[in-house]
Amino acid sequence: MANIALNTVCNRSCSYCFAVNDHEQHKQKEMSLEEFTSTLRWLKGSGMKEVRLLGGEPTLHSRFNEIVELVLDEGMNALIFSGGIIPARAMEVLIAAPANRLSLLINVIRPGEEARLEKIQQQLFAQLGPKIIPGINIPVPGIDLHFILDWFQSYNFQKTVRLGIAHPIYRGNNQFLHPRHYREVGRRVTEFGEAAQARGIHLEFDCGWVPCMFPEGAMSKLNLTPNDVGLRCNPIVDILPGGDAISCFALANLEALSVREFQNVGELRQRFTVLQEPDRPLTLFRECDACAWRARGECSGGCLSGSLRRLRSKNRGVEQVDPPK
Amino acid sequence: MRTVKITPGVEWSVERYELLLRKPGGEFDRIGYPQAAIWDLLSRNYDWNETVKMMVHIAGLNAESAEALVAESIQTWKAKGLLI
Repeated sequence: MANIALNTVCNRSCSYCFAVNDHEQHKQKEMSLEEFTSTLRWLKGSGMKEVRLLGGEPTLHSRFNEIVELVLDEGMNALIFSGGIIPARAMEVLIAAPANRLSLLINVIRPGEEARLEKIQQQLFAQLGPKIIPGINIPVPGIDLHFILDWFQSYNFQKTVRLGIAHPIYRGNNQFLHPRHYREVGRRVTEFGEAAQARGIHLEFDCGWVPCMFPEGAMSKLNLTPNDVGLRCNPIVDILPGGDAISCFALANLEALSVREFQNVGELRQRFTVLQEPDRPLTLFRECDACAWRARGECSGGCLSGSLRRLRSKNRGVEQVDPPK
Repeated sequence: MRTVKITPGVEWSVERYELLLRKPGGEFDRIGYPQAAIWDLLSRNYDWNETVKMMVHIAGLNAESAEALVAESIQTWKAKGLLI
């Protein structure tokens, strides 16, 4: 798995967005077609069958239609991460692409979240429903997720909903779900998950969920394994518009590597893993060192970016007087 | 009077049973309790007398033992490069 960030421009302004960082290469507005073509072939050479396109808003890329056609011509499938406000010209290629070759993971606008854009997104759902996997990002506790269930029937979405925790950008300032709210979110997700399962809808979890946030017994009720939650903080590899790669957007300010220096994506991911290894003793909660999930190797301690936030430093010049002689 | 400072670049996180310290080079060290409490007090700018007094209460030591524990801890951390 690896993602290609086609561009940095977006037509939404989500407060929790973590695709915003100071990396020099991320200041480049969009990836050139040449860069994309060579990255695509590199990914194909790495054995990848699916290309994941994100941004910014990837459909705003000036050559988005050509990019999608290139992916399909290479015999690869496309998964497009979008905010769901898609320009008309990009709709042409999205409508034309076969449903078994192209899917869209849409960051759903919750009722009342951005009233101005809600209707536009609903029109998209009506046009592309069967190609859509709805995704909901959770930046605050107390979000009722049930609204999405009826939309599966209304718009004939794919039978999966992807849930994401809004994670902090390391040395960034985006809105994120504070770990103190994880348990409340876990409780709500469990209730929602049971209702979703009753309708045959599968829950897919983005990175950084941890088993301790769910009520006792919820993991088995929702058929969750440590690979779904707990062990999901690994280098994803996001390739930036300039061609460099970062481990993930949350850790974009940590280090970037040049894709060209690696034979394949597996080698690149391995390098990020090695670079992050020294920080892996860090965990999201202070209680992690007494946690049974972690002791059993079923949880790695949550999002590394969130864990790094717990580090305190003393650059404020605190002094301690030595003992009297 | 000499002073000690936490070495610039040293970062730490408070865990349930210990402190995890990351040195500027990325290497980790651990401090268990009750010494972790000394580190915490030190980072909060407590002076020598206040630190010893607090350790009497936190660790249930007499003043002499608390003073010895604080002195030994500071010496160890200086030797490890955690303090300068």
